[in-house]
Amino acid sequence: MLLRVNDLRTQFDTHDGVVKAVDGVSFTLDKGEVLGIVGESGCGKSVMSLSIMQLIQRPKGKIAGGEILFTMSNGELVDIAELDPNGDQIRRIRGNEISMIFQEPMTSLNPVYTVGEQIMEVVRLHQNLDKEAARAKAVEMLRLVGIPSPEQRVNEYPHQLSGGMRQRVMIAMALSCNPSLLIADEPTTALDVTIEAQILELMQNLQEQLNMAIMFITHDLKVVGEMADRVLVMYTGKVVEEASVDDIFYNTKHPYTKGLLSSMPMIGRNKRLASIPGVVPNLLNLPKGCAFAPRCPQVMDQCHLSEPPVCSIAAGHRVKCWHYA
Amino acid sequence: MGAKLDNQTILTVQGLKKYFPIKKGVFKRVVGHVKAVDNVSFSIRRGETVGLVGESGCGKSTTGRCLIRLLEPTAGDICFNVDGVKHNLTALDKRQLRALRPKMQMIFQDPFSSLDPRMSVKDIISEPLKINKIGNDKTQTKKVEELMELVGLSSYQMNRFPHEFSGGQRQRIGIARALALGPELVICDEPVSALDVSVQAQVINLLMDLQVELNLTYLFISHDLSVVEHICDRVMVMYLGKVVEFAASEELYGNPKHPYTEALLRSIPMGDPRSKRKRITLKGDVPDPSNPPSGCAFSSRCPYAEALCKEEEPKLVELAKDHFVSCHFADKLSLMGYKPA
Repeated sequence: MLLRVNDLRTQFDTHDGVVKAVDGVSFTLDKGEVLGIVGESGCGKSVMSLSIMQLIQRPKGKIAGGEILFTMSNGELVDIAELDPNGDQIRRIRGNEISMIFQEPMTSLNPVYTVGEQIMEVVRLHQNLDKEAARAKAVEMLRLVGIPSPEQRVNEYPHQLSGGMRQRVMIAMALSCNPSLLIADEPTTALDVTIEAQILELMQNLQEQLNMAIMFITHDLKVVGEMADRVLVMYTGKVVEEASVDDIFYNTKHPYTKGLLSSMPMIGRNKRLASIPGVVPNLLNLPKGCAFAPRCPQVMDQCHLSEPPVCSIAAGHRVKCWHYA
Repeated sequence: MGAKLDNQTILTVQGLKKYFPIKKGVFKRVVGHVKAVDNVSFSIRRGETVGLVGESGCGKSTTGRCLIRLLEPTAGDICFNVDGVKHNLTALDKRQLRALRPKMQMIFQDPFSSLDPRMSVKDIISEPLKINKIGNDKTQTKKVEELMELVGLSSYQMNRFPHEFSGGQRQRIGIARALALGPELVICDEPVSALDVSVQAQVINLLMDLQVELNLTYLFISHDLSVVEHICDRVMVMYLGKVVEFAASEELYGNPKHPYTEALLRSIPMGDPRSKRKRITLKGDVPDPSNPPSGCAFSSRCPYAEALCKEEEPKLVELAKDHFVSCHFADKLSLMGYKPA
């Protein structure tokens, strides 16, 4: 086990009340495993990943409860939820043990430094390399992620690179310290389809080569189907279904997962899309009982009364729905 | 005003070009051009949906905007057929164009920036009616009510402001505004790209229902090939300002003839964990449009490129009936469609 999240709760104070962005999420992640996390905007998937990095913006946001148990490369087990977000220990974890890539590579790179300097900063900070060695490492990393003529590219600024190249630089930077966990938050959403295919292929190859675990956060089930071993489906801050990728697609249980799958346009399928009626409810004003009940085609009386429990229906397949209780 | 045309074709585009000048230096000398749309010709039949796909920067949005002269084309003819009368849009002056605008409307990508935050929904939807002086206050309110019901909004919400609506609902408001004047041709520029999957499906279904109900013709611009396959009858693929392939949807997805189309199709994530489909990844990025490669613009990334491709630019030819391809080797290559071979 590399990461175990137990009953994680992340909240934000707003003018209108407390938003429970992540509300009691639990899961585990093994070494070298690719975990897909899917859901629509506002389901808490990004906030959860930021919580794991202790990057929740304070004082408005905070981790209100739960554990994030992470096995360090030296075998030590730490609870990230307990760490001081500005402390030494979390800084040793960020970038070194867990690193992250984001959706928009332009805004995550610093425009006034060359890409080489930005990669060198990471390795110098975490691995105590001198300037020469750090530079060699930066070139090596750029080569690893498939950037042509890395010796020249290392001296270029982010604006001189295309979107796909920038995302490669982000990946190079994230992987430069051999993290055991990579959190990828919508890494291909801003990219064109041919570039997306390049980046997905690169990530798959690197994952096999370096045997790291990946948390792949996306709204696109098609990407999850290609990349993930296991999938969490989130809705209003909670995990509604967790299963192997095969079960998510072929043995779908939760009505929300079913709805997501059938509303996805797939080439060669019948013409009418089955959409989910209504919209995702406001997190400040969640319906009583199951949060999906107002949109659910299989809703029962029970669903409006109380929140469904998490039911384990097979090994590794959990569903939060009254139909399986 | 022009000659009679058969009523089948609603829009014919001939040699459309849009060049943006690149200016440099103190005196803003023109040092070159970005050929955003370069010699594009096609036609759209009444009642069909034509998809326009391609990667960012290929000129698909510019083409859409030129068609209704939101952007002035550099060259080319755009013939719009209204009630059997052919109008050459590029030759019309402002006043004449305004008279035709009700027949062609546009739906935009971003439902957040395409609606004025200080106008109520009623004002937004009735603005086209006011500008064109159609009806009085009372009939306009009635029309707004009808339009809101038509796109699946409740008419009691008409006094609310855009920020009170979700993304999907805002896109419905944009659709209602576009339909207010009873258009015949609607240009949809990435209408569902900003929406979540479950809401995206609702809007796609709505667009398809409206088309049947109101006999609309769509030009559907999108980068999402799965959405395009779902909604379009015919699909046009653009690369660096040029049309590289244009065919019926089923034909294009099942039997592509241009290497770029093949690469696009094989790049789409399958979504099916059991599929063992081989991905084809193109090398490199889309070239700089101000300095495209010589010969065929795709030659720098094409896995099948030969010497000829770098020398001579291929022409768009009709390879089979209604299947247009611009590739020197289109009839020799055996390419794979979306489905695994």
